[in-house]
Formats: sequence, structure tokens, C-alpha cells
Amino acid sequence: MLVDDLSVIIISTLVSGSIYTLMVIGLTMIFETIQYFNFAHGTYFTYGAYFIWYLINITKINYLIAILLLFPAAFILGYASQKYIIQSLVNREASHLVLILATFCIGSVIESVILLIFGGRLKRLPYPFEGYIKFGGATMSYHKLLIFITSIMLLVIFTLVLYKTKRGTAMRAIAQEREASYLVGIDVRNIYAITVGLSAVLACVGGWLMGCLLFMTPAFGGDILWKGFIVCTLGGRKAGMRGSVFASYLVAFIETTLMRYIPMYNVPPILFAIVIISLLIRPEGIFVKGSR
Amino acid sequence: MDELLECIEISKFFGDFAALNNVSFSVNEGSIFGIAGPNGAGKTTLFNVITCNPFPPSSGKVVFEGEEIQKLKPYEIVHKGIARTFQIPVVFYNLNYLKSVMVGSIYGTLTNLKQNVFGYSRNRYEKNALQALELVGLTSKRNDLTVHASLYDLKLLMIASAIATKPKLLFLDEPVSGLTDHEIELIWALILKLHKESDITMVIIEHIMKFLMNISDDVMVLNFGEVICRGIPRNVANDEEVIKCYLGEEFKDVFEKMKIR
Amino acid sequence: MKVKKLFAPLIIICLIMFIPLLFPNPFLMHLLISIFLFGLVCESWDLSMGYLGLFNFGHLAFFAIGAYSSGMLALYYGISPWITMIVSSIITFILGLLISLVTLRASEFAFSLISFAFQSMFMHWVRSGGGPAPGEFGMGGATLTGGTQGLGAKFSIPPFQLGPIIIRAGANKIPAYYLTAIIFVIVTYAMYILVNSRFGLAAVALRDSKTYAISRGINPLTYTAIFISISTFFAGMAGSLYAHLMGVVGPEIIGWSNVVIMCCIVEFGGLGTIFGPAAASFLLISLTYYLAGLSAYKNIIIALIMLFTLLIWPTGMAGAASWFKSRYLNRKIWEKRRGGV
Repeated sequence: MLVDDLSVIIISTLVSGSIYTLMVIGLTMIFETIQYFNFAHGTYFTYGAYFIWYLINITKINYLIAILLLFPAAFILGYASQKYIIQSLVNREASHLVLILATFCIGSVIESVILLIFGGRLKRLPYPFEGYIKFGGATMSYHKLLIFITSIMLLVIFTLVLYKTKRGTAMRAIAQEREASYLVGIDVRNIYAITVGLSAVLACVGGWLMGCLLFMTPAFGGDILWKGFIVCTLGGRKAGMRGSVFASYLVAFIETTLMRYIPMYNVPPILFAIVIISLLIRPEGIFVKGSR
Repeated sequence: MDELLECIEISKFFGDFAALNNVSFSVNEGSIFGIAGPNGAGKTTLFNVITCNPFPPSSGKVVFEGEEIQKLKPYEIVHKGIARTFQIPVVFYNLNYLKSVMVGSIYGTLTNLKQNVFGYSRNRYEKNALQALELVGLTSKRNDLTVHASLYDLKLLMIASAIATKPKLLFLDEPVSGLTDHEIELIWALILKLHKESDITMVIIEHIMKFLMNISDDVMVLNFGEVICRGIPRNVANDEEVIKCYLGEEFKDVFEKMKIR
Repeated sequence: MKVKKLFAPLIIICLIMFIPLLFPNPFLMHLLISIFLFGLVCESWDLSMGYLGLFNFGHLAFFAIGAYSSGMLALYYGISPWITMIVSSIITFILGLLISLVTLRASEFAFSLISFAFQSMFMHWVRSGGGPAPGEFGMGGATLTGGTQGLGAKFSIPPFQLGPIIIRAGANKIPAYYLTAIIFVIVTYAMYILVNSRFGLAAVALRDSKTYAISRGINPLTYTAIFISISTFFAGMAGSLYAHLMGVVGPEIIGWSNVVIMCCIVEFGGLGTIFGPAAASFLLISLTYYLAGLSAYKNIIIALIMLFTLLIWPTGMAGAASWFKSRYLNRKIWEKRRGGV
């Protein structure tokens, strides 16, 4: 019994953790480089799911092509909102509040537009791969496996971009020292926009994958965003990529374990309590790279 | 003269990088202590860790009036009697001159919330702030908005709000950087006046040797986070290491010509 | 005080007091009551958002807690609404204090997150009903909070009562209007005094340059927490007022679209001013009534208004007013100001 439980918990942790990772990596990237939390990130999630839905149900495009089209569409969404809207606010005084409000607005607009176009009724995307795989007494659907593999792949690709490409190095440079980056000739605004674009891609892919698993509503990205914020708070502001990934899987694990043994209704308050406790004990976050 | 401030083996690490490495010195009451050194030597970091704003030292002790303060909160240290100015001017953009200084006069002297709620009299703190403004010569501009202020005014405001906290020890971080020659003369005259008229002990970071050597009772030179020389100005200015790292060979005999004591 | 300075506020107060006599239109009364109530919420939100520069995502939770706690105490235990209003304001004060003390030690972002989580938690609990209602109210399976139908759906929340006069936004709205208007004027004045006091000075100093403020002796945790608690105090008061005037309160009062509207009011009015959100409340609440039929478009329009304010005219209505004043009334060359007043 316990082994069954354990395998279910592990699978759910992998799935949830992967989704949270997709969500949180983008958030962390934006926070470290441009220093704001993108409250519109949840709506990118929603956008990804509805974009695919629109393509395969309204314009009847092949599923695979729709998925391929998602990447540029997501990138453009993130890139454009950063470059044309947020950029003008980055150097304002009290920028941290102003940027939160601005992304809040953008998120609101996107969500309302999606609600307007698609209505509030629940929708669902078809699985790209049907079927199950059995191992060690546990069954895992191909889709869940896909979620895990996709998130690992995207994580690896993203890390490669960050460490091996010129643009990625520029992103890391700006995260460390913005002024100096200007001085060495990095086009900071462009890199900002690319950062948001890339994180939007991660979020939209997450949205598509979740849209197959859960019912889609215009607001479902918001729920995942909230979990993403919990991960960020637990992980700490300066957790970096590694810390964020660990924190995502940790939160997923805690949540899944709790859900197994406690009615679903009570899980959010307990998660909430855990975050409060961790804030009391270690305010700077659990996975922070320390300085003495 | 008693030791007002004593720093014992102060170190500050950022990861593996030692911004400060076993820096020790002491400041006598009523004196002026000068700190010099190349850019990046750790001078501002030293001010940061002594006032614990924004971070305390990684190791070492700071003893002020016989009491160890390195573990106190930054605002508690202000209440003990240490005030500082900043190298890059900090401004309260939405306040006017008077209110900016009043922040110092009110919150620099009220040590706890109870004092703030009971027995508070606005007039007293406003008078203190006006006195501080008068000391720096900004009385006529007291209702002007700081958002329009010139660099010179901003530096004066920082000094005024520091004085308004009624400190025993004042840290000045490059008080004249970025100013015109005329403004530099004015601020140095102000600093001398402050020192003559009140009991404030001062620690000054400065690059302009003519002034620093002239008015300091003791001087310390930092390089790469370490003390390379410490003592009276004449000795420091003639120190081989200091000349090699910082002053330059041309300075060697200029000392005599500048008639510095 | 100089008479000239009192001139404008006095005119406005007279206007407010005489409107019901000139235009006793019940719809107008109801609109103005909404304007004053939401104006109170937005002004208090501006205390934490504008003056402190912290995004208090969960501010409206305190409005809801004020409404529900006051409503429940009065409905189930028969306590006079005048007393429950004070009690629930104190409750929200203490809750605001606790949350800010706990979370601000970590970071301001933690504060935003936890206050939002707190709001979600509370609304979650409200929607679930929270168990059976006490005593005879629990018969027939009625829940403590009324669930999604709302508190006071079956048995109305008791109204305020002044001797024989029942104050309710029901048939005769005039007493309700006066109560709301008087409280609005008093609270607005109280906030005006607060922000011009040394506590307001500390808040603005912390917002403008936290390092500088700390270096002049301000304890950031204490003064931020106090300021936030005061803002939640007033939010709770507004909530309680709402509950007893309307007689019923449901979870949709702090649904997402209302949150966006109120955030927009604060922003459009001008962050960091008191009278800005008050004035913007007039404009925008009226606008939402006008757009009531087109709910999805309403959200988009409000969000776009907020976005344009941020991008193009960040000082909001208050900034526009002072620009106008300095340009035409004082005959000074307009000088651009940063941020709020």
C-alpha cells in the first residue's frame, strides 16, 4: 500500500514539480535580470493553452504544427510586452511597485480578452500521446512522462542558452551588473525583451501541457502563478536557477503528499502555514546562495 | 583624549572576495580621522559595516564608547550617536529641504516608539532641523523641493540631516566629490567650522590630499581592503608603500611645500 | 488655519451634505454611497501602496474580514452594529499588524505574496461556508458565512440604528447616505492628518530611500507595520459599514474584477495622495455603473485605463490637479514632479 502510495506521490511530484519549474524559471530569470516579478506570467500560461485550443479547434490546424507555432507566438508575446510596455517603466522611481502594477494590468487585459473571446466554459486539450507505461507496479500516462521530459529538456536547453550563447551570457551579465553591461556594449533593452520572451515560451508550453491534464478556464494560469510565487518565496530571492528548481520539486512534493492524506480543501491553508513558518525561521529563503 | 571608536580586525567577505581584511584603527574623541586610498580599496565598505547599513562586518569588533555595536541594528547604531553621509547622494525625492532634515531630527533622536507617541512636540524637532539647516546655510531654501536640488545642495542636505540626529561621531564619505572648486572650498570651510564649534568627532574619506592631510589628526590608508599605513599625516604621506600605491612619486616632497603640519 | 486653505474642502463638504436635499434620486444616493464606501477602501489602500510603496495584494481581504466579522457578530450574537464596527476594525488592525511584522522581516515581496495568499485563504474559507451557523441560525443546514450565497441572504445583517431611525441602503437611502458621507469625511480627514504627521514622514522616507531612512534612525519594520495596520483598520471599518448598510455580503465583493477596479482607482487617482483616490472613486465607480452591462469589456477598459495612467500620466488625477493649479492658478511655470505628492 505504501509502495503504491509512494509511486503515485512520486509521479505527481514529478508532474507538478515540472510545471512549477517551467513557471518559476521564467519568473526567476526576469527577477534576476530586470528585477521585477512578472504578475502577467500566469496569463502567459493561460495564453499558451488557449492558443493551441484555438488553432486545433477553430482553424483546424494539425496538432504538431500548432505546437510548433506556439513557440514563436509565446516569444512574441513576452518580447512585445516587455519591449513596448514595460520597458518605459523600468527606470522610473519606485519602479518595483510600478512594474508590479503594470504587469498586473497586462495580465488582467490578457485574461479579460481571453474570457471575452473564448467564454468561461471549461475546455480541454487532447493528449498529444495517448497511452500508459507501466513500471514497478505504477502506471504513468505518456502525457505525464511527456511533461516531465519536456520540462527537463527545456531546462537543459535554457541552461545551454544561458551559458553557451552570447545572448545568454549577456543575460547573466546584466543580472550581475547592469551598469557595466551597458558600458561593454550590451543592448540591455533587447536582452530584457528576449529574457521575457524566453520565459513566456516556458510558461506557454507549461500552459499547453497543463491544458491537456486539467480543465482550462481563463483564470487557471492564475492558480499556477500563485504556486509559483510560493516556490519563489520558499526558495528565496537570490536562489538562482538551481535553487528554484529544487524549490519547485520540494513544493510539489509537499503538496502531493498532503493531498494524498488530507482532503484537498485543507491543502492550501497548510501550504500557506508552511510558507509562513519558513519565513519565520529563514526569512531569506531556503535555497539561497549565502554570503558570509 | 579617550578612544571614542575602536575597530578591531574588521573583515568583510563577499563569497570568497575579501573587501576588508583585518582592518583595525581607533578614533579619539574630538579628533578628525582621515581615510584615504585608491578606488575600490574598501573605504565605503568600511563605513557600511561600521554602521551596519546595509550589512554588518563578517568578523571583527566595533567598539563605540566602550560598547560593542557590530551586532546592533543600523537604526540602533544611529541612536547611539553615529551618523554618516553617502558618497552618492541619497535623497528623499518627495520631501522638501526642511522635511528631509526633520527625518533626521525626529527619528535620529527618538529611540523608541513610546517616545514617539507620548511627549512628542513637533516644534522642538522642527527647531532642531532649522538649526541644522542654518548651520549649512540652507535656511532660505527650507521649503524648496529636493527634486530640483543641485548636487551641492544635496550634499549639504545630507550633512544637515546627519547633524540633526545629534551625533557624537560623524562619518563623511567623500563629501566634496563631483563639486566645483568653489563649492569644495565652501564645504571644507563648513566641515572645519562644524569641528570647531561642536564636539563632533569626524571620520572623513577623501581623495583631495591637500585638505585631508591638513585637517586630520590621524590618517589611515587602505588598499585592497587592508591597512597599508596609519598614523599622523606627515608620517603617512612619507610612507614608501603609500607613495607607491596611491600618492605617486611626485608627492614625495610636495608635503613640505604645502606647509602641512 | 488660514481661511483660504479651508475654502475648497468646505465647499466640497457643503456639496456633499446638501446633495440629498437637491437631488433625492435614490439611484444617485446608492451610487454615492458606493462611491464613498469604495473611496474609503481605496484611500486606505493608497496608504500602503502609495505612501509606503508596497503592493498589498490582500488589502481587500481586510475589507471582507471587516464586513464578515462585523456582520456575523451582529447577526448571530445580536451585538449592536456600532460596536461591531469598532470591534471588526480592531480585528483587521491586529491582523494587518501580524501579517506585516511576520512577512516584512523576509522581504517586501513576501509581504505581497502572503497578503495575497491570506486573501485567497479567507475567501476559500468563506466560500466553503466555514461550518454550521450557531444556534437557531444553523437550522436547515445554513452555514456560518453563507457560502457563495453570502452572509445575510436568509436573515439580513442587522442595520445601524440611531434611536428610531434605521440606517440601511434600502427603501429610504437618505440616512445611509449621511452616515456614509460623514464617516467618509471624518476618515479622509484623519488620513490627511496621518500622512502629514511624523508617521507619514517615516513612511515616505522609507519609500523614497530605505537605506537613507534607516541611516537616519527609522526602524523600517516598526513604522511600516504601524502604517499598514492603520490602512487595514480603515479597510475593516469600510467593510463593516458596507455589511450593515447593504444587509448582505457575499464573496463576490472582493472578486477579481472588483480588485482590479479598486486598484485602478488608487492608481488613476494618484499614488501617494489622499484626495486623488477619493476623486477617482467618483469618476470610476460611476463609470463602472455605466458599463455594468458589459462586464468583460468593463474589465478590459479599467485595466487599460490603469495601464495608460502608469505609462503616460503617472501622477494621476491628483498630479493633474496640482499641474493645473500651478499652471493657471499660481501662475508658476509647471515643473515636472516625480511620483506622487
